[in-house]
Order: sequence, then structure tokens, then C-alpha cells
Amino acid sequence: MLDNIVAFERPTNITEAFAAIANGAVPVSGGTDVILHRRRSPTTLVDLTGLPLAGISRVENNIVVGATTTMTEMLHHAETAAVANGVIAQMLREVGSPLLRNVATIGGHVARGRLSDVIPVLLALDSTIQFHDGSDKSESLAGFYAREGHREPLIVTGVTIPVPQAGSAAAFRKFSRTRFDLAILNAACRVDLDGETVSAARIVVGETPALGASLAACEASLVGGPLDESAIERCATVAASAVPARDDDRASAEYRRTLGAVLVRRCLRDAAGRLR
Amino acid sequence: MKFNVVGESERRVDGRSLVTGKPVFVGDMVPADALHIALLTSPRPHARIHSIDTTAAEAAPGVACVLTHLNTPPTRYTTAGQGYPEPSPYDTRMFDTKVRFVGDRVAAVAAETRAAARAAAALIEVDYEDLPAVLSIDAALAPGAPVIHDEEDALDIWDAQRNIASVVSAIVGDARAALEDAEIVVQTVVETQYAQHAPLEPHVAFAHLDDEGRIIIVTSTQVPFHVRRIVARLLDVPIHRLRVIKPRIGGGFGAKQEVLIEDIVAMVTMRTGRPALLEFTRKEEFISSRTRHPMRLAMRLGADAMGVLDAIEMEVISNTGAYGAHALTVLSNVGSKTLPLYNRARHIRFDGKTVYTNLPVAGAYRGYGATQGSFALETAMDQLAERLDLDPVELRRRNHIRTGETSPIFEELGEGRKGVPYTISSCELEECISVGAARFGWHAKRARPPDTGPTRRGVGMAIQMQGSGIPLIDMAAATIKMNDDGSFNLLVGATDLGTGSDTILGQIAAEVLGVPLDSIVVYSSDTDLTPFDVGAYASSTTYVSGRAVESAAEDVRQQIVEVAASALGVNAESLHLADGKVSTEDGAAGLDLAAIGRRSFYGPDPAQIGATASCVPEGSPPPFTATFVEVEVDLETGFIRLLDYVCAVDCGTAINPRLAEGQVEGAIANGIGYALTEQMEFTSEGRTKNPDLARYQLPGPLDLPPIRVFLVESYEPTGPMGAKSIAEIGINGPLPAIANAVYHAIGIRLTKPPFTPEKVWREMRAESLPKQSLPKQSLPIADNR
Amino acid sequence: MRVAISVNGRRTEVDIEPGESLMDVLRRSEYTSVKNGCDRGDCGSCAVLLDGRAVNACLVFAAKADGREIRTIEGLATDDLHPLQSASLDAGAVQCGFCTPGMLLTALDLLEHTPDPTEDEVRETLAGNYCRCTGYVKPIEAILEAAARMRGAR
Repeated sequence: MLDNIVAFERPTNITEAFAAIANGAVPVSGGTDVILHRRRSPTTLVDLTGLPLAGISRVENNIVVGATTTMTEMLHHAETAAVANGVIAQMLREVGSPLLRNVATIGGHVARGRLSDVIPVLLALDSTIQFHDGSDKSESLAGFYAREGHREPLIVTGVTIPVPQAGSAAAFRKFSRTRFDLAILNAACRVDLDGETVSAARIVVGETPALGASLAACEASLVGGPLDESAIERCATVAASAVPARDDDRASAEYRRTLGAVLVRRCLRDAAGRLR
Repeated sequence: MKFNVVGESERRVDGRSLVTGKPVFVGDMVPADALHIALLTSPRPHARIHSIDTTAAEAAPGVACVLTHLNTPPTRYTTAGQGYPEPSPYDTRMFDTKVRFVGDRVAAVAAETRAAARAAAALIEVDYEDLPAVLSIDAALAPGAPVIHDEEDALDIWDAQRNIASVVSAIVGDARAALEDAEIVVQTVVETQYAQHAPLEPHVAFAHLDDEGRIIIVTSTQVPFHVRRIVARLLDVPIHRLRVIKPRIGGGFGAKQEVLIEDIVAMVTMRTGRPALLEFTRKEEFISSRTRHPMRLAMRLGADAMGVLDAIEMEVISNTGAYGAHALTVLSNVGSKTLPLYNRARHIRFDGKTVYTNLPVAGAYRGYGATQGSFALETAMDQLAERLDLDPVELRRRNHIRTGETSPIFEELGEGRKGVPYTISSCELEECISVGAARFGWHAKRARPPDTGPTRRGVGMAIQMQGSGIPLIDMAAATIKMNDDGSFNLLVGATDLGTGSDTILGQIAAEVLGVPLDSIVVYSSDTDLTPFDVGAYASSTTYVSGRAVESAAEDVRQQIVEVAASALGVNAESLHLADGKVSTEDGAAGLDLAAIGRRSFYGPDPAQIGATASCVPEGSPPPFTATFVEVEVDLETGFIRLLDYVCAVDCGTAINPRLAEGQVEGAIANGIGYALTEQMEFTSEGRTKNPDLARYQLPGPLDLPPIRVFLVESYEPTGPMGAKSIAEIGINGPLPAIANAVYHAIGIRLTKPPFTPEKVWREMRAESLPKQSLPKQSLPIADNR
Repeated sequence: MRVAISVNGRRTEVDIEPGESLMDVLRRSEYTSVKNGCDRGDCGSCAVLLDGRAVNACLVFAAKADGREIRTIEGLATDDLHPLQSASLDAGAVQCGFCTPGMLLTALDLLEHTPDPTEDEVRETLAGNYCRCTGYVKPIEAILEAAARMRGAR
């Protein structure tokens, strides 16, 4: 029981919903995060699940996921689950539990901007975010977080995931003490090959910082060469110093840096294996 | 031995109500008009309460009653639900003028709703005078350490001025001299962590008045009769003014062998006349419930060149937190439930002390000291095997106790006092080792060449014993009465906390009475209606309560036969009871049980067929286990993955094999968590950092390996139908067996659970650095008195 | 505020607080099989089916259940036990039974979507259903056995 909740509104159009949010109301989608991270002050909740934001569609080379789509719906959506050799499906299976995934939505998850196993994969795939802050907008997810967009009053309406084409592969690794717990560190990567040469790469580590950080130095170390064992090792070495690690109750920064190298190496090996 | 009902995996007698979600738990049956109680707990680790102002709370909407030290009796007691007089110090008050850990009780507020109670509790103003806090074993024992129990009215604290709650020592022969003479000596020091029981149902109790004004307490407890006795004393009312009922309960594992909330609900009901409910939140369950005693243990073994032990030294410092619940008895059990295992040793020294700290309170927890003791002992045994270049299995075979043998420890170490001499009357440990090793594939896996690549596999093993109840102290009673359809009521004080004891006690009665299980109506754990039983702890129910049931059933069987003899006009000696009827040897004449039951009510000379029997066991027959585990250690991350886990257990007769396996499997899962993930962590101010199941790292189904349990039956001649108790023993195996397997995999001795990836990684990294000359480890582990 | 919910096929209107969880509302509406083990979505003891999917009722605002179908364990058995219930008893999968309603409903969600699951799929499904008594050996065995019985019954 959250006794600070004074009203629970269920608007059916986005203008009405945004007006309430602009007025200080808190948006709620699946609701898990709002319940777990309770506020003290009197709060009005605005339920977004009455808005027409659910569902997944394929638009050209993109998977467009409506904000109120649950993680389970994503997992069971064949085209989404198949993206990049199943990296999204593999990742989703490692997020919490079915009980959580049946409720938690992708929009709520990206909007909350907390520790995440989901966001690094979305970043590695160069996803974009769609939102409404009086008008409908779209921007890269990386850019959105870089300018701390998730702290603004807005309604996330969807996430668009570009489907990597032939010559691209992605991978994800989560490292946690128990499967249910949040990661001590996670890593996601995407590598695009032009022939035998890496034409582009995304290496993202998550948990520290919470939203996932793209490791530019790692990416640069790969581009222009082959994705062979020595390139992978070089990249992992760079990762060890590039991971913006911190100490907390789950692990030390030092250990996280070691894990960063290990997870980046394993992700890249997974990706290289998929590209073979 | 051939049985009809015993030995069958019958469905639980309470199973249907559980799987259909009937309202059978305490929280499901709360009266609608109950007051809700919220606790105000201490935010300080160690402080004196200068003043406490409840004016605003009492005036808050919906508040019916506020309890603090100002309006509750100052009676000293222990929350430990043990037999009277409890062997735990009386160092606790309902509400004290001092708080001794973050989470200690300060006040309780009863109001119309939980929200109102909480809101009012927040209005209580407390003026604390902070005292320096003691947050470790070393700090507790440091000269000039702050005194945690400086009160003058506490009883039975060993040395309050030095923060020592209890001391235990046992000497057999001359271990020191024997160690000097021994051909081989190994030693180890290990240190265990704060761990929590985490039953899925947090503590919950409510009280209400019956029509005569008696106080009825419905509570999730393992010890209803101890609750009644302890609460009656705190409330200063006669015992008969209380009735304690335990319905179904959602797990306990020792946490509910403590009287933690019943005094408050009863007091609120007594003061207000209203029903009153108190349920711990999960956070309160972590902080204000009980934990496993963290310990530092030092072990030294002396053996001859063949590996036969001659001397064992064990030194223990246990941390009981702010109060000494089970401080003495858990400490005793560290030695008493481990050392007899290796009875070749003629010289034994056991020395232990329990210290107070300003941390959450330790108490009874499945395994009860044996878990910690076995870790030290079985680690040292693995070291010894290595020194001798001997298979660890073979080393155990050369040393373990067998049927017909004894150990001086049985007599030297009891439950906080001298024990009872005892000769083992059933031990299939040798067979457990053989069966376990074979099922696991021990010899092949042990001989496998080392892995290459980023992971290393290894295998380890350990053996264990526990006990079956507390000899000459525990008492259990059972009442059986016969009905006029040939069925029976079985009334037991025994407490089923999810273990299935109602079912197996019913099976024992059914076996003796020659009826199917569904002819036995089991009712348990109600202080008004069932006879006394100490409750569910110390692996006592199957063995002790089971014997009481068996005796009562035998008495009833005799009465049935006599009624039948009189009805049939034959000699009772010529009759026997089986398959629901009494017949003559030749089968020429007989009466079914319904006819006998009817006759006992309505026939000539009607009289109730029924009996009550009690059991006080003379000994505590140990169950035994042999555990084998295979691990895979990730050299890059330190992560330990369990690949296989085999436990062979000597349980005597398995009254209900499936339920028996379940007890062992569950205990193993809990023990794996203790070995690998679980730990309560504290800030430098003594605040618990991770009071929820996820951050506490409770293992889930994806964290546990396939657990393979094999029951190796023996026949315990003193047990009911040959049975022994096995609720605890399984929890002791994982920690040493995993540590030994990790050593086999990577050559590193892990001594400080939980073996988290980062900890293992640090150990591996330290190992690969150039070796400094290590300081010689020496006993004792801390300055002894 | 007032919501209309259907519980085990029975439509009912309930007055709720805007901050109440579905767990709170169901428990006070006498669906006490919905257990409160942690009130933060870790343990799964409060799991119910919401429009056919297993969810932690403690992490769902009751307000969001308006107009939706809820199933609790009270609605699972008719005269006979459901195969998940009977297999659980046969396997010895029930110890204290506190986690059982949530675990069986989570399993039901699985079996209604995946009638012939592998052992790994069952394990994955139970990732959010803690059991402290059993070690999951017998619950997993029971769910696989129930799946076989349900397939056989078709």
C-alpha cells in the first residue's frame, strides 16, 4: 500500500495524459518501478496503458515497440526475439523473472533510467526512443540519456530497434551473483563487418553507470581491422581501463574493471562466432 | 522390516488445504476488527533511552495503545524458545531503557489500520544518548570494550563486563601433548558470516479474547508451549489464562523457535480487549528476527602416518549479537554434533565462547552450530588427506564412528551442560559413503586430468552427523482416542512447520493401529487441546514425538484388542490387529474396528478407548550423511558453478521417503546459499544494508544444481519404526564440500563464506602474486580469558 | 475509487485506495491464498494470473486491474484437484505450502502456453518464485509430471 498516492488517473488520450504529467503527476506503465521506488510526497499517478501505445510492428528494417508493450510480449514476438541471433530474447530471459516481465513494459523501463540489463542491448543496437513532451519526438536513445531526457516530464511512446543486417552480429553478457539479482556488470556489443573488416562497433557496459556507457575507445580499437582473437584481446584490455566503474555494495570498482574486460571479450567472441 | 503405512510416500495430511489455498495460515484468519501493530525500532546500534514521548502518537487518529518501557514490565527473559529453565541468559526485556542494535525494539503502536499504526509510531519522540558501538568479535573482546549488557538484573550472563555471554569447554585426554607427538598435524582457521533463515512467511501473530476473557494467541511458531510459558510470565498471568494455537506455518528453520512478537500482541489484547495483529515486514524479518551465529573457528588435527586421528582441538568464538538467545547451546553444538564423528581421536579439547556485539541477534538456525563446526572440521580433514596424499573418502573411512561405538564427547558436551553417555545403535555411514561415491562417480571425477581453458572443475566431499532431539531434556507427548467408526484422533503437541510431521506422525499411528493414514485425524500444536511437546527443534519430531505416538498407539491397540476379546469371548492373547480388524490367529473370528469403536461407546461397559504417552529419549541417535559435490570455477571471474551435488543420508527408517528426501534437499539448498551467496551486510554504524531477498542473494532455482539425495536406510532400534530425525543435517554438507571441491579445482582454501565471485577472484589473484613468507598460524584464535 | 474485477470468473466491484496493490485488495477480499512474502516482487508468493499471465500481485496497482480477469489458486480446483495440485502432492513438492499458490499459478501460465516444457524451461519459469523449503527438486518434478498428465487428458 502506497499511502502517498492521492489519485490514479487513466486517460485515454496522450494530450490529457501529458497535461497531467506536466502538472506534476507521475506516469505509470507496468507500475513495478513506481511501487518499488516509492516516493513520500502526495502523488497523482497517470496510467499510460489506456493510451494506444501497445504492440510491436516491423517497419522496414526496424522493430518498432510501443511503450506499453511488456517484456514478455517482446520475448514472444518472433521477429523481435530473432533480432541479431536472438540477442534481445537472450537478454530478456535474464531480466528478473517471468512474473516481472509479464508486467514491466519497455517504455517504463527506458523511462525510469535505472540499473538495467535491457538498455545496454538497446544502445548496442543504436536504438531510438520516441516520446511526447507536448509534441511527438524521436531521438537516439544514447542522445536521450546523454542529455538526461529521462528526467524531463514526458511520455515515452516507443522504442525503435534497427535490425542488424547480414555482416552484423550482437551479443550480451550479464554477470550477477544470483540470477534474480541485478548485474554486478553487464556488457553488450554489436559489430558490423565490411568483408573481413570491422566497419562499425558498439561496446556498451551497464550497471556502472546505471544506464550503460558506450566505450568509444574500445569501439575505435576494433574499427578498421579484422575481428580476430588479437583484436578481441586488445579491445578487452582497453575495456579494463575504460569501464567507468565504481564501488558499491555489490562489488568493488577494481573487480568491475576486471569483469568489464572479461565480459567484453566474451561478448566479442560470441559475436565473432555468430559472424563465422 | 515390513510395514504397511510407514515407508510409503503418502500425500501430506494437510496437502489438500495447502494446494487449494485454504485460509490456513495465521495471516489468513485475522479477525476483521483486529488492531494492527507497528514497531518502532532503534536507528542506533547502542544507546541509552533518556526519554521517550508518546503523547503525539497516543493522540493520533485510530491509535488504541502504545507500549514502551515506561508502561511494560521490566521482567528479564530470553526470547529463546527452549525448555524450562532455558539455558540462555535472561538479558532481554519487552522494552528496555537501552537499545543494543539497529532494529532493537523501542515501542509498539496499535491502531485501527497498519498505516495509522505506522504513522503514529513515527510521531514518537525518543531522546537517545549514543554509546560507542561494538561491531565485531574483536571489538567485543578488546580490553576496555564498551559493555553491552551493563544492566544489573540480567541473569546467567557468563561475564557481562567483558561482553561474554557464554563459555563452553570440554577436555578429553591431553590434546596439546598428543598434538606435539602426532606424526602429522594440520590446522585451519575459518570464519563464517551473518546469515538469515528467510522463511517465506515472515513472523506473524495475533491475539484475541475468548468468551471467558482468556487470551488466545494464534502464531506462526515452532514452540507453542514455550510461547505460552514465556508470555504468561511476561504478562504476569497464570499459564492457563493463555491458549496458543499454531495453524499451518510458512517455514521457520529455527527463526520461529524464538518468542519475538507474541508478547506484544498478547499485551495489546490484554490492555485493550481487542484482537491485535503483528506481522513482520520482510525488512523486519531480516533485521529484527534472528540469524545464524557468525563464528571464528580454529581446528587442529593430529594423526598418525596412516591418517588415523589421535588428537582434535577446536576453538570457537561465536557472535550472538545484542542478545544471548541460544548463545550457550549453539556453541555446545559446534563440538557436540561434530567431534563424535571421528571417535578414533583419544585426545580432544574444545573451547568456546560467545560474545555480545551491537549487531542483529543470532539464535536457533537449522544445523545449530554443527553447520559452522563441520565446516572447520571437514576443511581440516581435507587438508589432512592432502598431506597424506590419501583419498579424502579413504581418510573418512579410517576414522569415522560406527555402530556399537561411542565417543567421550557424548558425555562431555551436552546442551549447555554435560551430555549423556551414548553408544551408536545405528550407523550406515560407511554405506552412505559408498553409495554417494558411486552415484556421484567420485573416483573417476577425482582422477580426471586438470581442465585447461578459463574454467577448472573440481570435486570435494564431506561427512556429517547431527542428532535426534535432546536426550533427557526433550519431552513429547501424544494422545490418541478412538471413534465409533474405527477412526482415531491423534493429538500431538508436535509442531509441523512445513516439515510434514503431522503426516509422518499419523503414519506411525496408522501403522501401529493397522489402519490406513486417512483413518487418523491429526490435530497438532494447540496448548488447550493437545498434550505437551517441546516443539520443533533439534531434529526432534520424528524421533522423540514419533516415539510418543508409537507408545500411545501401542497402548490403544492393546485396549482395542481387550475390548474385542471381551466381545468375542476369547483370550486377548489369541487376537491380533491388522487391516482394520481384530481377528483370532486362525481367522475364525474377528471384529472390525468400527464395531469395536461402537461397542466402546454404546456396548456393555462403555469406556473411551484412548491413551496418552510421553517420550523422554535417553539418547540422541545421529543421522549421518556423505556429501559429494562437483564445482566449476571461472578463473577469470571467480564465479563458482555447481555441476552436481549428491548426498547419501542414513535416516534410519524413512517413515515417508518423499518427505524425508524433501527435508534433505531443502536443507541442502539452504546450505548452498550459505556457502556461495547469502550474507547480511552492515554499514560501519551497524545498519543492515541488504534486508531484502534479492540483495541478500537468496538462491533461486537457476542458482542451484540438480540436488540428488539418496536415502540409505538403517534401523534405529530405539526409534519409532526404526526412524531417526533428519531435518537439519543436510544443511551442514554444502559449505565444507564446496570449499573442498574448490580446493581440488584451483588449489585455494576458501575459509570465509560466502564464496562470492569477487572473493574467489581476490584469492586467486593473491595466490598468483609472489609468495611472501606467511606468518605461522597459531592457535589460539584470540586471547583466551 | 471503485474497480470492477473478475476473480475466478466471478465479477465483483471493490472500493480501493489509489495506492493499493492488487495483493492488498485480493487479500482483504478473502482471496488469502495470495501470500505476502516480501511486498517487493522478489518472492512470487503473491503471484496470480492477470488476463492469463502470472504477475506479482504486490507489484500491480489494483487500479490497473479494473475490467480484467484474475485467477487465484482458489479457482483452480473444481471437484477434483488440478493436475498441478495433485502432482505436487504426489511428488512431495509441498512443504510449508506458503509459496505453493504462487508457484502453481506461475507454472499454470507456463503450461497454458507451453504444454510440453523442458526441465530448463520450468526452472526459468520459476526464476521469480522463491521456495525456502524444498530446493526446487520436487516442485520442478511435479510441474513436469502435471504437464504430462494435462497432455494425457487432452
